[in-house]
Amino acid sequence: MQKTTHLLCASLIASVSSVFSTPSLAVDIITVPGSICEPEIGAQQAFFNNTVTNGIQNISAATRSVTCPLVRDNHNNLNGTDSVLVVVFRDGVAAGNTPVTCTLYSKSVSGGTVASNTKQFLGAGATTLALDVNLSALNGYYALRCTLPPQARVIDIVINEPL
Amino acid sequence: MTSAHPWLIAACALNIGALSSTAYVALQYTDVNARMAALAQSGDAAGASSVKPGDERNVVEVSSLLQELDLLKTEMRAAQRKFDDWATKAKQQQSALEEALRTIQLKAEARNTVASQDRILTADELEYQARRQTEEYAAKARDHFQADPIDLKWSSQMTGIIEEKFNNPELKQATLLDTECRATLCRLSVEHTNAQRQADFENQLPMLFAAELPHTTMFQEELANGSVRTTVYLAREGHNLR
Repeated sequence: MQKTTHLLCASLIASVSSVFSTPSLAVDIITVPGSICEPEIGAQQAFFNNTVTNGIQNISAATRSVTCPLVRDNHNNLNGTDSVLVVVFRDGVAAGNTPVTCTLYSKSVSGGTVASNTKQFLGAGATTLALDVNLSALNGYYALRCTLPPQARVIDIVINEPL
Repeated sequence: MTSAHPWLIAACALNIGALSSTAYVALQYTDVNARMAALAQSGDAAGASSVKPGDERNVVEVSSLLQELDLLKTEMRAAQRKFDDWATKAKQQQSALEEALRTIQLKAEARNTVASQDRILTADELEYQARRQTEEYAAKARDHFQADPIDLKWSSQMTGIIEEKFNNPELKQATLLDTECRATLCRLSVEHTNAQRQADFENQLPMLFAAELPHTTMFQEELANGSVRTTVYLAREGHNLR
């Protein structure tokens, strides 16, 4: 009697928990080429090369900024990104002492900064900047802004977003 | 699967658990009671028939009855303990099932919320939602900041760095009204003469603090004279803004 009751209860509880257990966390990964980025100031188009291979590259002698729109699939998520990886290139000679700096923005529908995270690279060659914001607004958007010293490039962007 | 099934299954589990416990304990009691009644009858019969002082058989019989009575008492106590155990387990199972039901309820509510957010919003709804959320985030950021302990050394070091950065040409259009740093967070109050300058400030500020305070969140308020006041929270590396 006791065993039967235990088995019955255990099986019922197991069925209930298996039906309603939450699946493991899923991630939506989107990759975009650096060539999706645009000069921050429209009139500066001539100071950039934008190619499939090199992404967006500052070919001028001054430090300039680009902005990159990032696709957000999960418009209801309030916890920001899991990570945004930005592959950048810095020419150690041409850049002088100026780092490549990238800021990931989580914006509200009206453009207010809900959260931002910034990373810099002062080395030479290609590297990956790992950015992350932990807040987002319903229907808000994500964007990336990078300041590129001479010859620096944004090559690739990988967005890891919770589903 | 419809939403009715989880309630049904959970309720069944709850009822079956409770009924089984009760039935088992009832059976134990019935058994012990029956044996005690039989013993009492046998004792009465022995007493009524032949009570002769010095009769060894009677002494042995009484002694045996007393032993059986002790045994029954022991069994009774054991049954009581089992009953107590069952009652405790039943209570625990009931709490677990009630918790499961609450979780199911919360999940259902969350599904409904997402469903309502998935429909097409009107412009007014979108604006209302955004305003409410900004207020909520601002309150949370304020609470989080106030809960941050104070590290005097880091706080004074950061305050100095912040004030120095505001001499940077990129931030000269902004007026720093107040700076306060604690152990992992800093809060700034900044005023801009117009909305465009505030937008430029939002672009520039995170880059200027990349090394010391790489995480930011900002809340702006338009004032009657057209100027904009921004409250900025910045967090040092490895620390969150909420």
